[in-house]
Amino acid sequence: MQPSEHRPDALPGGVAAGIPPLEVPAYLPFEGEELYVVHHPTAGPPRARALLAGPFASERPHAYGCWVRWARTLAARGVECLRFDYRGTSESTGRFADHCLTTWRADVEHLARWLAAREPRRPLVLHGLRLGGLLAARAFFAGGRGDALLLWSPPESGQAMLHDTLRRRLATDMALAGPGPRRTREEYVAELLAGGTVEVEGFAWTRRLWEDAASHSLDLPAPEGRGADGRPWRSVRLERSAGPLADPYGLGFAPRGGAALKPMNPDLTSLFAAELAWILAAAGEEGSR
Amino acid sequence: MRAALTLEVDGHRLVGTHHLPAGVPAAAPGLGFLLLNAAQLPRAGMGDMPVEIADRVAAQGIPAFRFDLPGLGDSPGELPVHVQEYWRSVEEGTDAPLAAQLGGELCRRFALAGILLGGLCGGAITALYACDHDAARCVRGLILLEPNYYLVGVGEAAPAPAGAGAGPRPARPPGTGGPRGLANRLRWWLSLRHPGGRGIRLYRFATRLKTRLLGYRLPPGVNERMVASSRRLVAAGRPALLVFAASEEKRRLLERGVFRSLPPRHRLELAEIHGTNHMLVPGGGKRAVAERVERWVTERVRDSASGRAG
Repeated sequence: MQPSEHRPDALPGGVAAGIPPLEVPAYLPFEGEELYVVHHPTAGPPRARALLAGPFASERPHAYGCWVRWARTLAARGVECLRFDYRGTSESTGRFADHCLTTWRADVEHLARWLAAREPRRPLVLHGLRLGGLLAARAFFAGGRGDALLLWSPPESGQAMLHDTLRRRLATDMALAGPGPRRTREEYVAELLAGGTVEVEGFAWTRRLWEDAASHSLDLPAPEGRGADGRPWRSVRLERSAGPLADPYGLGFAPRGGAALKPMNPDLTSLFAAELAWILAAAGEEGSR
Repeated sequence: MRAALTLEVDGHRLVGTHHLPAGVPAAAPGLGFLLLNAAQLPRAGMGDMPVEIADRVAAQGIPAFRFDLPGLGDSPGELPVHVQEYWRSVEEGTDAPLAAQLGGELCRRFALAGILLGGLCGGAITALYACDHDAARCVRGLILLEPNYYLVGVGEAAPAPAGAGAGPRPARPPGTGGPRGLANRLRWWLSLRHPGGRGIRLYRFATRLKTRLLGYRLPPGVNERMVASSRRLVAAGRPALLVFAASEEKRRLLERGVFRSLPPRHRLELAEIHGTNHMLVPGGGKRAVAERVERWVTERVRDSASGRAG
């Protein structure tokens, strides 16, 4: 094996000679699969740690650039981060059709435990974007993971998110339409419930994914601020100025001539500053919990 | 099995994924397979199609790699604010020399005889241009998935990057202005006015009639540098697989425009995938493309082992 290949035993320090320890991509084994993780260490002792749970597989490619920038910003400001791909998606191993929100929530809890065990005296913030927010909230409130919770635009429920994403399939059908009637959303849902698979944005949706998503709703305690056990939490609805983080499908793929200029790399300075301030405040309040 | 891989190439820190080949490695150094980013997307691409392709190739015993170019995915680097500006840099081949060096670095580290290099959309453009910088002839074949032969217009509001401006560029954004824009609008109007495919069939009939009467000429807005690179590549006899979403217009552009006069012993394969779009993912495109690429790559590796490499 080449010295710069990162296997689980190489995390976190196994970087090749000559390459600064900026961030470390690696694989962590979990329940027969390998989770792709990228660890963003801090230059000095971390002020806090954050587990970043990203969006749904079909939204990932569009939001990824800004999500990575956010992780680098956090690390540069003293917040050690870990981001990852859910099992069965992107760089992690496994078949998408074998997984659902329950297994992805297990990914979140597993990595939260892994990160917490590294330096138990530093507060751990669970932080999720869209689907990641839904899963992080479950891990935080029901699973008791983490010392603080930050949600960015979480969906009302897993099924609401899938229902919304199914529009992508309908739009593709319309664009590729030949002669004959097109199928409706209700017909696709019926096919899923009958045990069939439906391909949406290249991913094979299953009945298990659909039904499991229905059991994942966003149950947040009121009022926002602190949970019953005193741990701080916050949910933020991202505005359009957040670009692909707020509107993951807005960027499209290949730009068309004459189309409006689309930011792939928008100025997120004010958003990042505000959210970083909240994370540090939440972590500071938690102290050495 | 996969491994994360970080390489330093020409001062850039590039992050990628190594799909380890299944089975016992061949005794003789063989060819590897490298996929670049699909345009501005991270290396897993849309619908994880590049992942499926690389998994399939590795399952054939061929080392497969996917890498993020600078600023994309996990590789650090600067990016412009707007996607159109990024596209201009792709069209200008900004990362092509680096892609060629990356191929060379993988050959050196993994004792490979060469690389089969490919990408989707913008990645195909970079892969194509990388051959122009491949002094060591490390690239033994190209996989061009939906290469975009049309220049992407940059509106007046988009500032041109420093040093930009070389190469042909239409006066107006292609697709909205000029004869091509008019044709696009006519086609769109016909598809709305006559749903069920009748409008499109009418448009196609008119286009065929025009071509028969006037002969085929490259449409306005075509990336002439890319056309020239493609022709040079084929004339040199380098093996190439070009996969495109089925479309009469694209087939005409490729067969009667870009590759209108192929040399007798060319090694270009055109593969048309039906029922999908430019991303080659929906409508079963993901599986069809992965199977086609897997077959082509496996054949090239066998050719290489038997001494018939390009």
